[in-house]
Amino acid sequence: MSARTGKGQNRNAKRTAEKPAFYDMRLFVAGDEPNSALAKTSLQRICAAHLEDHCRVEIVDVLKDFRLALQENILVTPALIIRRGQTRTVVFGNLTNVDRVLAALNIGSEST
Amino acid sequence: MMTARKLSYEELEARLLETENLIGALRNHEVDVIVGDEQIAVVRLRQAQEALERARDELEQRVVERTTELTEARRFAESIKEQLDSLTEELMMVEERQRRQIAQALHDTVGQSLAFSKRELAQLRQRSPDDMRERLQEVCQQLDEAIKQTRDLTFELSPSTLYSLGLQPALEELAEQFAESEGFRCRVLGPRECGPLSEQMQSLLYRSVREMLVNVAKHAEARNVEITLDRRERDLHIAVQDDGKGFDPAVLDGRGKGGGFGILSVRERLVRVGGAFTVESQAGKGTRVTMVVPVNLG
Repeated sequence: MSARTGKGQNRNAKRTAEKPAFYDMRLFVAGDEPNSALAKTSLQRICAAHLEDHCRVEIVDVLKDFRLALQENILVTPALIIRRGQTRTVVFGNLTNVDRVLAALNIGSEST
Repeated sequence: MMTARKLSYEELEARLLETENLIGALRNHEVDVIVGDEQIAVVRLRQAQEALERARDELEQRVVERTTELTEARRFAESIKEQLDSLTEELMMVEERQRRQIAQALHDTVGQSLAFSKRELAQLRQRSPDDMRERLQEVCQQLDEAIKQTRDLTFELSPSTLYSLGLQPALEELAEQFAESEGFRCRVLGPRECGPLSEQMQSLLYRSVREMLVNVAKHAEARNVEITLDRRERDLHIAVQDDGKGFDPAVLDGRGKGGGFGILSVRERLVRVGGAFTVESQAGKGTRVTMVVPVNLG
């Protein structure tokens, strides 16, 4: 399962100055369990606000198939794997802490 | 044979951050499942915690409700008790009034008739033939006995001395009666004026002392009894002391055998009017009962 997010918009022009070319992300969730549902919504909002069309998000439901989670060495969900070039970063939790996600994306905090 | 690749500093730092991040997610209950090698365990710590908090809130609410219910029940019980006390008080007053009325009626009707009959019979006896005089003398004696019994009954129902002269003279009269009928020496000590006491209080004290004297007569085998009245500031202390065989006061709290109903009733009545009642006794060393009531100083 995969999803593309966001159409090009200029409202985050200030932050997009530091954005790398592309983020390849994989969000591991467990169906619509509370934290997984929150993680999906949060990530969708972050992508729309900060990444526009510079990302690709694949959502993996471990309740349907958890082999990919094992391959990626993911022990708990929700978990977001961010790939930027050769760099691989993992963020655990429901992604409601936006600053933490932005730090993992190497983008400045919303509060700055 | 595979060998582990040596991680760079940056990679180590990234792993460390990842681990800290994982611990944070677990600690904040932001994890839904744990992925195992063969199965997935769903974790619902937050929901469990919320359910626990809900249950605790519910319990607290129920405790508050229960406490409110109990408080209301206690208030209700207290109000019932107050009503009961007030009714008991009223009942005592009614009982006292009725006693006085009956005593008055007995004195005015039966007593007067007997006295009149005795006087008439005595005159008749003087004018009667010799053979009848002896029979009439016997009838006169019977009348004397009936007059005495009526007087005793009137006194027992409502001692007129109590209302005409006061508590101390009434107690003296009572002491004399007991001394005469029970054969022990009985005297009253203390001031003639005991302070302002309502009729109800005087009657209560009089009947309480009488109850104590009945007990002495029944159980104590005493030779001397002293009734002492002592006014102390706002209280009146009345002590009834005998030199009888004494007893264990523990029987009065209901644990022992044969706790006297009379004594308990006196104690209850005195406590209800704001007074106190104490018993000091020891086998072979007599008994001292002290009754304390507040004096009505207005």
